[in-house]
Amino acid sequence: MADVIEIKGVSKSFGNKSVIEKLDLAIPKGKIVGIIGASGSGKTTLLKLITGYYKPDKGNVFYEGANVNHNLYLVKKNIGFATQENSFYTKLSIQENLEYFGSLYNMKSEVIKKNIDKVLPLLELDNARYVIAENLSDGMQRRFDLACALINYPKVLMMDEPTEDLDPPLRRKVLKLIRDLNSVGTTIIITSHLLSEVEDLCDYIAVLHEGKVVRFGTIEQLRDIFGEGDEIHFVTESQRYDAVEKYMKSHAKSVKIENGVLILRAKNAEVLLKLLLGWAKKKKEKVIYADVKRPSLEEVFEVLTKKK
Amino acid sequence: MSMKKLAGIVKKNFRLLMRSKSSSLIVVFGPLLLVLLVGVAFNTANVSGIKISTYSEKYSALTEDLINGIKETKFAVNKLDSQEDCIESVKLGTGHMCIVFPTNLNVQSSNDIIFHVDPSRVNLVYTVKETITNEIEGKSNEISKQLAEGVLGKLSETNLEINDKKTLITSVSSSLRGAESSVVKSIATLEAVDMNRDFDDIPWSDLEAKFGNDTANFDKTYGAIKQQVREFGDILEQVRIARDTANRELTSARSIISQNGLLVGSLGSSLDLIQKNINSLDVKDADTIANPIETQIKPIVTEKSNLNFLFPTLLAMLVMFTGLLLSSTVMIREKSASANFRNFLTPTHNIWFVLGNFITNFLIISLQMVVVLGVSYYFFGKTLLDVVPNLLGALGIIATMYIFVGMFIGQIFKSEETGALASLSTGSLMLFMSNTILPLESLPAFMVKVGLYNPFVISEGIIRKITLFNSSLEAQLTSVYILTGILVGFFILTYIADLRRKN
Repeated sequence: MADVIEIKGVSKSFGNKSVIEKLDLAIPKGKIVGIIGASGSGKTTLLKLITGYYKPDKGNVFYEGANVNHNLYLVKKNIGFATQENSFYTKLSIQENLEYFGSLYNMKSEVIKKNIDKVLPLLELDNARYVIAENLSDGMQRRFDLACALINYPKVLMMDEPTEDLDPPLRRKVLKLIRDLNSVGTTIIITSHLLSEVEDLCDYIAVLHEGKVVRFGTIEQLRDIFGEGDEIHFVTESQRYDAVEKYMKSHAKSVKIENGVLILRAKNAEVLLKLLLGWAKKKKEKVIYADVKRPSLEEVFEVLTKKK
Repeated sequence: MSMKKLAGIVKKNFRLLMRSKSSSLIVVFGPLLLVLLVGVAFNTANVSGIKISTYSEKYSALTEDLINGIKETKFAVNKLDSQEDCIESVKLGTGHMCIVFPTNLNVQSSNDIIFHVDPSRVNLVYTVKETITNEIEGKSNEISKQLAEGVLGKLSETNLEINDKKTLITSVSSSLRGAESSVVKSIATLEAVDMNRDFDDIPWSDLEAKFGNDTANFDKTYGAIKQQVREFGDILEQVRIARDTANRELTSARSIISQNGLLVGSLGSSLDLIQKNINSLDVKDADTIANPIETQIKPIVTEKSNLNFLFPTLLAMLVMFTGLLLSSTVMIREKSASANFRNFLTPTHNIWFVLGNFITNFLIISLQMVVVLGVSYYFFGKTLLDVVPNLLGALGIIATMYIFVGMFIGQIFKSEETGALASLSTGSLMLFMSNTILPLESLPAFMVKVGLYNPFVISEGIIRKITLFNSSLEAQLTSVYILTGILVGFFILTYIADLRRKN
């Protein structure tokens, strides 16, 4: 699988403040890649480095093997960017904005018109095409910004917090749109602080912390490498776990009893659950509740960022 | 395809400017409003609001005439009771000027008409002073003309009288000559009378012979005759004496007649000379005598007010302030627009945005120029049309230069407020270092040198030469080259600033 974007040893500072530090990252072609990180971790800066808007202090960014800073025209032609803060002219209508940005991509009028006609219904903005942008609701403005990023149907679409401020139905529609775009081969890079959304949407996740990618991989890889394992919650009628607690300590990473609930952490949760159920049967303990919880991306993220 | 980008940028800029009410008002209509106000302020065609205070101990007919003339120029005249009140009215601002007329002003009076003005109100003072001085000069000329007409009339009458009396002198001269001739003849006649008679020549012996011996009768007759002869001789002597006396008197009379003849001849010659002198006067027209040297100023435009002289300055000011304010505002707006990032994301070279902004500004200024020149056409008529091609060329270069200066200001400053302030400060600085506020020559030598390269001074000079003297651009190549140099310099600076900002 080829990487459409490669970031090699990139550092970027603003004044004395280092935002990105010796960052390495490769974005696989045709995938949805999520970049997560705390506020100020450098997510937006990273995206702007990819577009060439910021020049790295050190290192290089490559688009399909070409150095971004030496091939800006190529990069700009193929990359779309839906910004966190809306990036369009508020005094122009949706149609006028799209026509204007389309013209800057050297697109023919007919092609611009065709693309507008395609993009606006997708984002449910068709009825508002003649509305001045500043009169749109916040949600519409977010979608409109996405429309601006899509006007040239880019090969790589970067989205900075795309679903922020959107209501749940609209959020679902945007997520579906992202999947649809990805399904036709568009590489998507999104940043979001809604980790569940990223977990649900992305093929790959990069965890950004203090200007560095602390881990990159699929959600499963992240869980496997850095998770403390699955969590088993086990409750019996008698709530007496003394004997089994000792026994389980040799099999689980951790064992504790909280409010009458036996809580175990282990990577082989299914095996341990079987052992527990076997113990209860043997001791004739009545099992009231048994559950295995997988660690969420949030938990993984917390662990990763805490460790670092 | 790049032209399409350029057109797109310009179209977008126009839409943004037109949709932003504040921009439209401040940037597009603001300078036009400014120029309109300045134009109205300097337009002295109508000065009805100006009040003139006057005082005179005694207003003569001439003073009243002058005051009526001032009233006809639409100034309001207020006669005050004392000179102090008159001067005080200027101090208090109830009058714009105080004129003190001499008591019973007339042609013979030698007192001056005194103007009391408030020098702090320079424009007003000069406007009023000029108008009233013109009025008084007009009246003065009228009086001079009347006086000259009187003198010329008298001269003409004298000439006619001399003509009339010259025949009389000729006649007197002729009579005198006739009288002299008669006297000469009389003297000659009298001198020709021979009165020399000798009684011894009487032939007494013949008479004695005839009487023979009648001696008695002879003696008696002889005695009688002798007595008669003696008496006749006495009479003759008296006649001779009278003749001599008459001769002397006639000689004297002749001399007098001759002298008088000479005097009459001399009088005739004098009259001839006087007449000749009168006739030899080259100027016999009172107007010419009152105004021997007439001046006539022929401006290229109809002189209706001070606006004519200010037109080049106004035009230069309009282009300067509009260029600076508009381009800096457009640049800062573009720079600070959220869409600026998306502009960057498009495969469009920086130069197209710089050029797009330039074209937008240029088109707006051109539009303003069309409006201003259209309105100016109403005042200046065809004379303006004659200079329009050169004027448009000059305005194009000047506007381009100011736009790039403004764009550079827009690149340096971050907010519209600071940008506008910087633009206004730059414009004001150029204005202060020009001839518009203070004569450039009155500044220190160093400042004068700097001022000569002041873009406003150069651009105003070009416009002035074109509008007032119908000069061509080719005739002002040095100025054009300096402006072009500044223009290119600021274009490069703007482009570098744009690149630095984006980096």
